This record gives sequence, structure tokens and C-alpha cells, in this order.
Amino acid sequence: MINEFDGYAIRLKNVSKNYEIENLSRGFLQSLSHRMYGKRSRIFQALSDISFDIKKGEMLGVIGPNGAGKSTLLKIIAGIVHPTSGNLIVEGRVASLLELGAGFHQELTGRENIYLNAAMLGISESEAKGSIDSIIQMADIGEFIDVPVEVYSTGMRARLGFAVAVQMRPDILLVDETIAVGDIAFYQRSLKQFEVMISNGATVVLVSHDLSLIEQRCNSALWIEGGRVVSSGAPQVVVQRYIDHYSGANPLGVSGSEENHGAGKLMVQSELGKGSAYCGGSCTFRVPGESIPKTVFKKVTFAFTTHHGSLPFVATFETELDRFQDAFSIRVRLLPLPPGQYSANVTFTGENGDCVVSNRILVYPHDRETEFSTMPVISFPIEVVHSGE
Amino acid sequence: MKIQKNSIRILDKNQNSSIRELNEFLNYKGLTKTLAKRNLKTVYNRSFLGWMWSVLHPLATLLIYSIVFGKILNGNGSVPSGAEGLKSFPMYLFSALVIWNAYSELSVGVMTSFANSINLRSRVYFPISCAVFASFISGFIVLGVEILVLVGAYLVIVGPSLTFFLVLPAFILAGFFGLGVGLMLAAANIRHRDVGHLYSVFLRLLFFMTPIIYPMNLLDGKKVFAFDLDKVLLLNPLTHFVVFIREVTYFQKIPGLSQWALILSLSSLSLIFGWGAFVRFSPKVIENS
Repeated sequence: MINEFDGYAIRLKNVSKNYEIENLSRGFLQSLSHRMYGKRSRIFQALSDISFDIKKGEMLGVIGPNGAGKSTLLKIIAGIVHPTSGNLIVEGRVASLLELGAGFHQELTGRENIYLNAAMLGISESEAKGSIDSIIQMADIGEFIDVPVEVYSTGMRARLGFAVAVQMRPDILLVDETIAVGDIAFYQRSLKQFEVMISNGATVVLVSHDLSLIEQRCNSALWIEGGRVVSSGAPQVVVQRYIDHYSGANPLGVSGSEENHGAGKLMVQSELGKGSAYCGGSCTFRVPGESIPKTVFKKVTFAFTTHHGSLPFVATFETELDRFQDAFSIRVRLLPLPPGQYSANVTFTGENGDCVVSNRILVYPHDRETEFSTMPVISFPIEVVHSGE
Repeated sequence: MKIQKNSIRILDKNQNSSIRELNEFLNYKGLTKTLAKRNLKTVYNRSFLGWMWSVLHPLATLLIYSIVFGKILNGNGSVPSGAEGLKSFPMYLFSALVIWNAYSELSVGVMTSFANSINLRSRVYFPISCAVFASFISGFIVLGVEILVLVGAYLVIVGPSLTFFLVLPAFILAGFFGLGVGLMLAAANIRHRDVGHLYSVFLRLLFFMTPIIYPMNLLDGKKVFAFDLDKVLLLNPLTHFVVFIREVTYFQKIPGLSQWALILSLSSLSLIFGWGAFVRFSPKVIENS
């Protein structure tokens, strides 16, 4: 048993979780006969042998593909399910946002639900009364507070759920961003609240598919897959490994097949080093000579794509046939991308189809105050420098 | 930062799950209170007569049963004489009916409250025993109005007696007996919904297998398949609660030690087994729902 938990909010040791999968459509008599003849239901191992610690006042980001066991992990920390084996210590009041409006009773009004949620955190009604105004204000739902939650819109439910969880000042907040948050604009505003909470000593565990968010805001990251810890530690390292793992299986260039890719990679260089740049900073993309197709091409397109496949930035330039026999660079003075992870692509369009050279680029906010914002697709002047290798 | 002692959750597989659940239940007393309050607020939601129903409902039942079983089926004739020359079928019936309602409504209420809370419990953590006990407490308070009506009726018709104070322990013990049965059935009802249906059928049988609408001695010498019916009736735990409450109301006698011991042990056994079954089976049922 793990005894010393000073300074730790959550400690898990060799935690495993098995689910029994049973056919629920099976009738009573059938299941009785199955039981009598010893036919066991199938076992699904959702988590196996998970161990990690989170210090108080830290933010842990959990990444992994769908079905990796991320939600099960949060449910175990929240106490919703018990581990099949292993030990865990959770110190403090835990609030969880694992589903949209998770702790809400549909037939009760927003106000009654606030008291109910407070009671679930062990907060008395009189104590909860003190923070009810700030909850209503933060949730921004106005008169709907006295209407049953079942008539709320998705956004209202998400906002109220978040406001309750944050304003009750839990010691530990568990958030499954992939399903619990409906309204993106509200969620981005909520990120500030996480930082306020953490500065007050709270601990946050965040499940997210937003890798750049985890890199920028978390103190540590945990990559789980198939119910096992693949990698854990500094978020930059874990995210990098995660991306490398998946870019091998699925090239970041969204268009073109494997053989259309040039032999070499597009090189990304900025003051931050290789493969990353500041938002609004300058950045150079270099296409090595061996990556330029030797076939005839008419048009060269330079574009960034997000991991969703959308194009926030496109620049196209026509060229003469013999111009790029050697390496060339594209310099962007002011990188017009919000912080995040992108794929930079240079596409050579010829008569025989496209040839893409691409690489990943991580864009960091210039300072912590930079707001996340969605930028429209814009055309941007770029400078193409011809260099004779 | 100050951290309350009770907010540290250590999950140790070696710890007794029954004690763990009991600890959690005690840590969340506020939640039980909030849930019980909510139940009481919503029992008579959108109803014109509201709380009047908790008086009207038993009185209406009493009236119907008095007419059907008293007048039509001539229950009046077989009613024994009570204290102070009392010989009234409705009063004889009313005492038993209060016990029956306490048992049947609380056991069903506890069972269904578990089913109703499972959805919420699978999304956010709280000790589910809080929801179950909240339903028990609110049900108990609603039914408590009935014992006030019962004692009131006896005071008006027969006059005051000290034995009327013993209605309360009889009612509480019958309630705990129902709570225990409800806890035993709660998890099984989720695993197989048939349990709930079977239980409601069983309750109908049990109603007639309890001496509510007839006195015990009516069955003297009657047999079903070579079983003496009056002996079979004694196997029904509720019989003892009904006999007990009739002693203290209709006959105005203080029940003997053996009668006390019997209903005390019945309700504590029911609670112990109910709690044991609940702690043993409910976690699995919650996770698989």
C-alpha cells in the first residue's frame, strides 16, 4: 500500500479495470442456464497496470486514441467505477465533468441542480448559497436558472456544468474535453479558469485531443493506449512521441499517397528551433533539392493544414519550368497561424498530378496572454528565395 | 490549504466494502438530507390537494376495505372485542393497514429509488446509499402522517391510552424491515427487471397472507395441502408486526417481551442482510448499467 502521499493529489498504483461484457438482450431463463452450466461472460480489459502520481496544483493532460481507456481512467479517479485491482489515493474533493451536464438531474431546475451538485461535493446548502450568484453569472444563463435542466440547450448545459464545477472550488477537477464541452468559445474562455484554479492550489486532469493545448498548458502528460501507459512525463516529449507514432502510420500531408511524397522532408526553421515557431514570428521552410520532382510542373502551392484537414493558410505561386532545380526556401515574416499543430505542405502541380513535400510545425503563442482564435483562410505575401544549394 | 480529513479517499482492496460504503454514507450526510428534501418537495408536485393526499389516501383505502371486506364479505361479524368494549372492523383494519403500507411502500420505494439513481451515479460519483436512504426517509415522513391519523382516530373513538406511544416503534421497525427487503431486491431488480414485477405479484399474495382484513383465529383448523394455515401465517414476518400494532392500539395492551424481541430481531436481520446484499451486489450492477 502506498502511504506517503504528501504533496500528491492523486496516486495510482498498478490499477487495472476489467469489464464483464454481457448480452443484455438475453432473457432470465437463458442467463440462468448459462450460469448453471458455467458459461462465463467475456472480459474486456479497459485498463491494465496503470501507475502514476499527480502533484497538487498540477495539470495533467491525458492523450490517446478513442477507446484507449481515457474515460475509464477518469471514472476511476472520480470514484464512479472501482478498479478491479490496484490501489489509489485521491486527496481532496473531486468534481468531474465527464459528460455534458454530467451531474444534472433532468427534472430539477438549474438552481436545484446547483445545490444537488454542491451536496455531492460535500458542500452544505448554506455554503452553496454564497457562490450561487457567481455560478449564474459565469454560466450566463439568466432566467433559465429556475427552469428544469431538461429544456436547456447543449451550450447552456455545458456552461452551467462547468460553472458549478469551477465555482465550488474542488481540490481536483476532472475534465473530459472530448465530450463534456459543447461550446468551443466558452471552453476557450474556461481555460483561463483552469489556470486560476491551479494557482489556487487545485489539481486538474484533462483529457483532450488538442495536443497543442496539452503541450502549452499542462505540467505533465500521459499517453495511454489499449489500457496501458505508453509514455508519460513532460508534455512536449509525450506529445512529440505521440505525433511521431501516428505520423508514421498516417502521413501528415492530407493529400496525395505515399509515393507522391518527395524523398526528402520539408525543413522548418525559426528562432525557436527546428519544427516549431512562434505565432506571429518569422519562419523559414526549406525544400531540399532532392525533394523537388524532376518532372515538369507549372504551379507550386504552399499551404498549412490543421490536423482536422482544414486549410487556414494558402499561398500559391506560378513558376517557370527550370527555376527550381535546386533547393529553395520560403520565408514567412509574420506567421499568421493561431497556436497549434499544423502540417506545412509544398505541393508541386504538374501534368502527372501532384507531388507533396510536407512536415509538421508546432506554433506556440508568443506569450501566455495570446488568445486562441479561429482565423479565416487568408492569402499572405511570402518571399521565395532561390538558393543554389 | 486545509483539507478535510474525510475528503481523502483511499481505495484499499483489503478494506471491508461494507464499512467503506458505510463511511462514505456518513461522509455524505448532507447529500442524503438534500435528496430527501427534494423528494418531499416533489412528492405532491403539480397536485391541487398536495399533502392532503397523505391523509386522504389511507382514509379512502380504509373506507373501501371497510365496505368490501367489512360489510359485503361480513368481516364485521368475526372481529374480536377490543379494549373498552370496542368492536369495530374499520379500526381493527386501520391499525394493520398502517403497518402494511409502511412495509410495502418503503420496500418498493427503496427498490425503485436505486433504479432511478443509477443513471446519475454512472456519470458522477456519490454514495448511492444516500439516494436510497433519502427515499426511505422521505417515504417514512409521508407515511408518518398515517400514524398521526391512526392515533388521532383512536383518541377520538376510544379515548387516550399510554399504549398508543408504542405505535411509533412498531411503525419504525416495520419500516426498517421494509428497508432491508428493498435493499436486498435493489441490485437484483437492475440485473433482471423481472424481480420488480415478481415482487409486485408477491406483495398481492403477501397482503392476503397477512392477517390484515381478517383476525388470526379465522384460520383456525383451515388447511391448504395438509398445511395448517394458521401455522403458515406465523412464518410470515409481517404477521408479527400486525399482531404487535393491534395489541397496542385495538387491545391497548403492552406486548410481551417475546413479541418485542421478535419484531426487533426481524427488522435487524432484514437490515443486516439487506445492507450486506446491497454492498455486495450494487457496485457491479452500477458499473454494468
